[in-house]
Amino acid sequence: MGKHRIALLVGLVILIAMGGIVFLRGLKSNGSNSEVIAASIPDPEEMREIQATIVEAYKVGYMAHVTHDVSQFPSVFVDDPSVPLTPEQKEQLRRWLGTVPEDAGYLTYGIAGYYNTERLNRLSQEAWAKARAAGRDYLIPEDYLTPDELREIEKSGGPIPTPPPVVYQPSMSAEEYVKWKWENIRFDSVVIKGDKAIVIYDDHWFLYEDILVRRGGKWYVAGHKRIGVSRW
Amino acid sequence: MTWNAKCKVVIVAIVALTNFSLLAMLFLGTSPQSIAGNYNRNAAEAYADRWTCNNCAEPHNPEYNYYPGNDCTNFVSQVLHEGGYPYRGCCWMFWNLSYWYHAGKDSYTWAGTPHINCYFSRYPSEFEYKAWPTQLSKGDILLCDFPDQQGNRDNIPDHAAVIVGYNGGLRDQHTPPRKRVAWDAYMPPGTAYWSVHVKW
Repeated sequence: MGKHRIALLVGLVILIAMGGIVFLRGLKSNGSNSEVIAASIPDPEEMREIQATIVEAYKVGYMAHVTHDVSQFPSVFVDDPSVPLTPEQKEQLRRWLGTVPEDAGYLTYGIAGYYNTERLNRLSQEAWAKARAAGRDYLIPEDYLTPDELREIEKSGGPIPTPPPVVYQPSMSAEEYVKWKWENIRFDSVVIKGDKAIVIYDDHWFLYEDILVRRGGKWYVAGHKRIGVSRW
Repeated sequence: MTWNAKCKVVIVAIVALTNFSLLAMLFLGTSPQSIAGNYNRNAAEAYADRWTCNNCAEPHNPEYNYYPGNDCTNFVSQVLHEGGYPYRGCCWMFWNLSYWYHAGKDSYTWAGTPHINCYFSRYPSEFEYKAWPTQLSKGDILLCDFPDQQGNRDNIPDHAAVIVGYNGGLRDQHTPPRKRVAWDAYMPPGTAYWSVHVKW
């Protein structure tokens, strides 16, 4: 065996050894490389599962106001300390509850919002029922303000507050809603990093960013915010 | 009393009166009397159709301000104005919800969705809240409060659009731009509406 061949063999051994070291260090670095890989080449099945979780979240939100039952919220939404509420969501929560509980997350926010929405829906329906009973197809302040509130406004010279909107009685079934939602949602990106996923999607109106977390092998929506206007 | 002293008294009186009027307008929301006119629905519709489109970059009239990503109410206000509805107030009380005008700095009611709703409610002889969007005519205004992902709303409008079409069954809008789509196209189930009929 010539000297050149020995040198080539030694060089090859050194290269293999260096590659091995780099590979082992990559494995030990607690998944930072695997995060990059997962982020760039997501598993299609996992992506589909994440997208389905978001559609399911919308369905649960919609159905809560059809059935007047919020008990399904914990099956899709979760409070997760690593996903804090936005400042606007915290402010809303403060208005609804008078305080922001320390561990409040998106699930708590949703349940508090549900009770507030049910209250608003009731007020709106009562106001429009008064107008209809009086044979009117439009609202006047007497429909949505109490006599005391009206007197107070008159006394202070303040303006009349805006009337409540018309709330349609929801008529879609859960299955119809899911079909409608799949037709009206376009996923722009899904980035999975370990047990967390960041999803950006468009619903013809706005661009949203949802953050999902995986618990016990199941995905939950832990955060949701508008980040722009529809490009669809 | 010397001439200088008289001048001072007059100046002080003018300043005091001006300040009093300003404060009264600021705190009591005093505004000009109700105006009456003849809203030109065809002109309003023509303007709305001219300055929006589908699947396009949002067009905007350079004679008005433009709010990229947040232009729906500004567009509605332009349509109202092009239909002949006149400005109310001007230029230095942009936060006053009884005023509505376009200027270098538009009034809040010109370009803010919740604010224009407050404005509409202050002039019941000019704007009427109907029960259903299907009762609206072209040139009328539709305000929407969308449910969020959790199905919840806050009774504050998120969006404004203009009703167009022969039977008023279509809408034009900005942000995003849509032209002559069905009035309820893409509306999420559970959306609440203020259907504002222009009586002016």
